[in-house]
Amino acid sequence: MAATLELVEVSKYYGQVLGVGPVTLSVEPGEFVSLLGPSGCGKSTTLRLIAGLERPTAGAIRIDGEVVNDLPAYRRNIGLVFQNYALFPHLSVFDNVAFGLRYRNVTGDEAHRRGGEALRLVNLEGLEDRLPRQLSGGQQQRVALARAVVINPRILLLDEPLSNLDLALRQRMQGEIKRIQREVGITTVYVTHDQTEAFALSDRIAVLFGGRLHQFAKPDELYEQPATPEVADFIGETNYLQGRVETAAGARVFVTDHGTRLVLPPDAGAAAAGPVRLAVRPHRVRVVDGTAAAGVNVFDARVERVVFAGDALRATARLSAGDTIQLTTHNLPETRTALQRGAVRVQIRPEDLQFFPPPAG
Amino acid sequence: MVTTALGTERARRPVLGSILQDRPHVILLALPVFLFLAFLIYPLLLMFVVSVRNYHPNLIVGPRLTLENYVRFITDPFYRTVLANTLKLAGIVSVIALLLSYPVAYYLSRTASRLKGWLVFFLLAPLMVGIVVRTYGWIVLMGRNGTINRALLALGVVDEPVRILFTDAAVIVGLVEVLLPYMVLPLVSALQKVDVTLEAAAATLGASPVEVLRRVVIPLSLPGVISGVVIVFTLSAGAIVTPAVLGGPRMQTMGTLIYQLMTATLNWPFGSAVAFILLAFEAIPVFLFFAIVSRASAERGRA
Amino acid sequence: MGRRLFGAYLALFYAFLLAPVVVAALTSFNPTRLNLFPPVGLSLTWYREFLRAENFTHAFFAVSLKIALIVAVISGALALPVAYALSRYRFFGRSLLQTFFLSPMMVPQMVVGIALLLLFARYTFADELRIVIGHVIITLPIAVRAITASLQGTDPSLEEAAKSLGANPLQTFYRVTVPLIGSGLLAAMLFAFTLSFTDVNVALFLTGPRTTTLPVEVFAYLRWESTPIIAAIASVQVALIFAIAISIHRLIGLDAVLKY
Repeated sequence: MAATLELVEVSKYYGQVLGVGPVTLSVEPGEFVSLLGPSGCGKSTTLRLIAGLERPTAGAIRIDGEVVNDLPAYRRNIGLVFQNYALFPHLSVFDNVAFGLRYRNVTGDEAHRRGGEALRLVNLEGLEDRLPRQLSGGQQQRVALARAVVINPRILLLDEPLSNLDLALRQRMQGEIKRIQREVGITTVYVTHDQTEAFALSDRIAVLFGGRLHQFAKPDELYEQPATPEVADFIGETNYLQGRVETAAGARVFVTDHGTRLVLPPDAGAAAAGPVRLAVRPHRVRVVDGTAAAGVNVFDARVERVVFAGDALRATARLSAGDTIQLTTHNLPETRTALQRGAVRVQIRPEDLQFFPPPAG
Repeated sequence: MVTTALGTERARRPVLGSILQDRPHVILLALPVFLFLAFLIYPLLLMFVVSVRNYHPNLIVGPRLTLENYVRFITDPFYRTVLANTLKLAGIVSVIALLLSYPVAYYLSRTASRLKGWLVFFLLAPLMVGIVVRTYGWIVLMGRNGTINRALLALGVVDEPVRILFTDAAVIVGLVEVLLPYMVLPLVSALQKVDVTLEAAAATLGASPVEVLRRVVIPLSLPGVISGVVIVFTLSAGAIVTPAVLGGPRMQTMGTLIYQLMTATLNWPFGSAVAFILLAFEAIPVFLFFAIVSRASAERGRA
Repeated sequence: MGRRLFGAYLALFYAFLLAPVVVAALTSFNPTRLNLFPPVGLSLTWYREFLRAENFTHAFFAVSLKIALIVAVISGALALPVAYALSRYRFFGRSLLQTFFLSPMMVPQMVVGIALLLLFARYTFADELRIVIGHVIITLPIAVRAITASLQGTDPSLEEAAKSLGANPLQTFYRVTVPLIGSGLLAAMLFAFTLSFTDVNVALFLTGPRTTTLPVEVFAYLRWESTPIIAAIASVQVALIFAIAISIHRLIGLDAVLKY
């Protein structure tokens, strides 16, 4: 039952204004994919294109290999959960859930059986006769979910479904959504601007900025190997070091504008020469024991600021050559003492470095 | 590659289906647009065509193209007087209605009173009751044996009934009363858009309530003032019932003149021309106000 | 500061606004031929007179009431697709069409009447149809406005939800849209009814010998004489219209329809 979904060079323009695209991605049967990005990045537009609520300006949308560009929303058989739930206020919970069954010629006892089953799936038995406004936000959310899955859609789409719920409920519903998706085994596309949500739920994540797809990858890959600086910035924090790659004594080294020299990993940055940007995650900047034998890329640093953040410590340090760097460490007593003393040694391992072209302008 | 494949796919769809899916508004709007063209736009064009034809005693609308109807109106002092009186009347009614309405509109736009819903209701319900009933009410109040006269007699203010009905004042009072809601409504909606915090800001900067009103509220509500005045001016300049009934048989305004020409004299070419002249003059307050507003904003720009 | 003074002003303002309506209705209880307010007695004579006056009863029931009902239905049926298209779709020329459909409010009603008089002199239409057409033209803008107001109050994603669940546009329209904007539609029709029932400025130019509407009949009468028979008619009309006004107010709020 689970379907494949492919977007091939899909783009949407509103007049001259780019909505999204071109986007190319393919979703495996049963896969859970998130579209992640800040508001206005085109993720909701992409979802609406898949649902058939908007028509792409160019490109092809395929479901199970069939181009559905010209198939109107009501013939696509796609379940859609709206950000504001979009429950019909004039219909009861049951009638909301059974709404789509009528157009699949499922009526009477069969409709009751399937509607009841869907409500059981979302743990809402017994509320069949309520009106949407008599339900809590979380319950409305469940009705919306039941209404979308009861029609056995080929694909399930969710548009920021948890953004109107409070934090505790949001975390519980994340688990519920994942459980239901697994139980039904349905190909799912989930739109969110919340990276922790995307990480918790998704098999793969597509990151969009300004209507363009920057990276489509597994969560750990997004974090470890962000394809663009935007992705690196959006997912976690990053230090950037400006400088250039030089060849000294046959080895390639990176020299920052301030003069800090960093040894590069053997494979990385082979193509990079001249001005580049080097990125390193704050928690990959290690505070090392001052007395230990010096390794590669160990620098003396002056701590300028320490912020206590519960189980972590965040510090701003200036390397001896003058580069400022953010670092995050576990809140261990000895690290804390070292940081509070004001002088530490830090290590940036070559394998934790990543290259980006210098920022434009 | 992809786009060509899609292109052929699109071409295969039936025409009607494609209209329904791509341009559903075309189907929804087709009939109403046609009816408006047939029964509003075309008749207005026809009216213009009639206004540039000669009057023919038998045919009514003669075959000759001419500007004589317009020339006749402009050259005849009687018609010029009717026009001048009508514009004066409309101007007076607009100003009085504006002055009376502004405080009420301001209150309605700012109050959180529970009564607000009913105040809006009682503002609009008379409007719905219709002009004829309300005009009759004024006859009862202003007639020779009317409520006002009997009150004045009883109080000893006058010795015998005074003439109220069939005067300009009666027409002005009647029109102001009938048209007040049309003034209040645009004022309320303009004043609602004036942010209350602006008033607070002006007050903290040392502006007295009068200054706040003069320098913040009134300038910002000008669009509402304009549309209110334009509506009231237009409606009073074209009024038929109120001047005919409260002004009496001898009262002559553009509205009553046109009515007479179209239904009694049956001089349609001249009547149509007079109607167009009225339409042209009704545009005057619009231009006047835009001139004032643009000059005011230009001054603000200089300051 | 001056709060009490303003309260007094507000009261006077509303007294002035409502006086003729109240006076017109209450004068109907006079036993005499004179239009006296306050009435000098309490009698239903003039109501009997009204029911005996064939010209007035015919104008009331056979002409105005009938035409107003027809106008309400047609105006509602035309305004619904117009309001829907203008508020749910984005297309080239949309704002132009919006102005176009509100334009009868900018043309003086008298001019609409005259233009149609000239049209009907050239093309023959049944007498009643002439007035119906004129009234549909002047009521459509306000009906469109009433329905638009309630469409704007409903979430377009409800319609999208219906479509994603398999309802085609027509099914979506009558299973989701119409139930949600029913009150707006009803209000629009009540409004069209009222405007049609009380109109003089258009009907003056379009009435025929057997199709004189009530306001036109009353106007013609008032130009030469006035007796409390008009008051009796007025009070019936006021009662009818206030009932409608209250219904509209309860349905969507009068101000939603008459917003500028």
